[in-house]
Amino acid sequence: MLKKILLPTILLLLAYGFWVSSDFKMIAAGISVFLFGMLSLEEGFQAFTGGTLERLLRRTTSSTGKSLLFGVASTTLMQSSSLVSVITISFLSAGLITLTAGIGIIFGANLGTTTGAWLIAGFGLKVNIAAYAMPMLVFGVILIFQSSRSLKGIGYILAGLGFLFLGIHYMKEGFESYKDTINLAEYAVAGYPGVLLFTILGVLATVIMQSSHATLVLTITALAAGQITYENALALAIGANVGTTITAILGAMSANEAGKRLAAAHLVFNMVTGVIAIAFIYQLVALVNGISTVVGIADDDYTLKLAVFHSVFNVLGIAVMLPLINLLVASLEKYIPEKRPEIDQPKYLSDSSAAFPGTAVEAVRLETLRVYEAALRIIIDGLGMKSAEVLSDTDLEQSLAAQARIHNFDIDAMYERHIKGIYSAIVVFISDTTFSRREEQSADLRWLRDSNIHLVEAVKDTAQLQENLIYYTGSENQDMREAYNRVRMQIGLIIRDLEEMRASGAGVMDVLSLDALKLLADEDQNRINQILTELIGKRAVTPEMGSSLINDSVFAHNICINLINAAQHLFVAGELHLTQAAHDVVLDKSDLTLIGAQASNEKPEQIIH
Amino acid sequence: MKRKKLLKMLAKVLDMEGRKQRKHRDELEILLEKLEKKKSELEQKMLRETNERKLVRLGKEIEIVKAQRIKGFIALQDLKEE
Repeated sequence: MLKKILLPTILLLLAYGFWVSSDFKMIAAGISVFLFGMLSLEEGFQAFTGGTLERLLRRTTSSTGKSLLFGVASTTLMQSSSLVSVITISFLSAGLITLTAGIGIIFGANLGTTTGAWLIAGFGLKVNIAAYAMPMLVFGVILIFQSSRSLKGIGYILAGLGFLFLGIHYMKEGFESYKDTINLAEYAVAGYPGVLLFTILGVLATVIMQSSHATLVLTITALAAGQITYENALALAIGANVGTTITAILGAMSANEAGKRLAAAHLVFNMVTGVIAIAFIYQLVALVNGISTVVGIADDDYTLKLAVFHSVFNVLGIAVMLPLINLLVASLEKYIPEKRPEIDQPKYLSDSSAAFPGTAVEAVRLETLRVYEAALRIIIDGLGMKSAEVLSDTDLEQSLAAQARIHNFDIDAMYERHIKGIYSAIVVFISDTTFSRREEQSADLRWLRDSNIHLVEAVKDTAQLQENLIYYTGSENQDMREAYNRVRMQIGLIIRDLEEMRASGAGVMDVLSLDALKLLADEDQNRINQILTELIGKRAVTPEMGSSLINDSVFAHNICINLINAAQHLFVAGELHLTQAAHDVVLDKSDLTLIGAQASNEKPEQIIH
Repeated sequence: MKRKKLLKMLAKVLDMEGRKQRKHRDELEILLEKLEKKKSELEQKMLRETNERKLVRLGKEIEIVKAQRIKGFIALQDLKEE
């Protein structure tokens, strides 16, 4: 409700103001032109993001000191602490810089933004800057129409500066004329009530204009025209400093937790600085007078003194907050914790991906690949292996034998977290789209659904295998330890082969050779059974141990076969339609058994894997 | 009756099913050629390979390709007879 009436009310008030006072119109137009200049300047600097700015940011934020300097330099150059803070939030959200570095930049940006007050007070009010504004606008607009991104960027920067200068000029003119008709200084409030009132006004003005620069320019020009008192102008500057955090807060709303932390740090810093400035305002005024005398600023040059004050209280804020930066980081991490999604959600399944048969199939394939990757991680971790070893040329037999104990790994929890959400979404997506697709795509979706089922079965079988595996790999019986390590190795080597195939960009022909892996898995299981028979014959294992090993070798075999079957449809991006012919030649279980039997008759001594 | 005859004639002219079958047959023939090529490549690779585990794997792959070719020829024969 408030939102609905706010804008019309502001517009009506402005219209009334324009009607009763042409000077007010001039000041308001000046603010508008100034803000437009800021937007143009931001647009110009954004043309250089995506390259130079990012490289600079990465290189110059390796320490807090460097981050601070970067914040000062970049804000001085861009004349917008808001732009710097929003860019910093986006970099932090993307994980390109640390929170400490981000806070350093924000501290620096607060100091950098005070250069604006110096420029306006020292240059803007003393020189006819409108004379510089005109050529800047002309050159800027010409460059904006160029096709080159860099030239366009320079054009926006020049035009932005031109508009800034023009805006300052109009504000100055407006206040000069105002002086003749009305004296706002008569409404000045002395003492702490005045400080608090004008601080709040400064916050409000900055929140509305979303620019502390604009508030400062307004304050300095009003001060130069004698429309506000020096003391009230100082309070407005403090308010502008606090109000400027609104841009970062708005920017952080769409950012992740890291971005929110930085916006909170920005707010904390500016609030603390504001409180210090208000609490010690009279001491700071005395300090400013002292500094002004030393640097040769005239006693009655209140605009430059305001610039000094702005810089002094920001330096003071940095001096107070810098030693507390680690505490600030720790508190922010505590109070704004990183939310980890409990359940992984699908990334590619959407209404737009369901709109076309090809994209629907590819979306399901990509989601299934995520399920496949999660399943591999769970299987490897669940069996106490290390991904780096499984997926490299490491001698698995040796590394598994050297392992003292397998730690418990909650496979069910990992399944719930990383697979179930995506798997469920895939099932729903396929059932919603299958019947409206062409026959070819429907078949592809069915095969992909089967791949998912195979992967889920592989994970479930791993959970079944895990209990005995943990127990027997830690047992005193060396034969059982070796047998279970062999079971693990069998799965590890199949995963290694599958991943090698995936990395080499598998085509239909490679996928057909997955049948060879199935044959190897069959023969591995036979080999384990053979070992088991020997162990039972030698009375090296108890009957209970034997039955456990038999069951678990079946689970291991199922894991391998399920992974291979899943890979069969999953690895062939964009060639799924060819699998119709490929399906005719893929060997089934009976074919593999026959080949296996022939091989064992021909070469009984051969050991697989 | 006339309508049924007309539809039958139309189906024969369009022959959707036959076209699909021909496509399937062509794909299968291409695949069989590829399998033959793959078999010779694997045999060549086997001659150069020294790693024992990889040798065993290559041997299995050759056996598989042979079995797949046989299965493919049978499927092709069935398609031709249909």
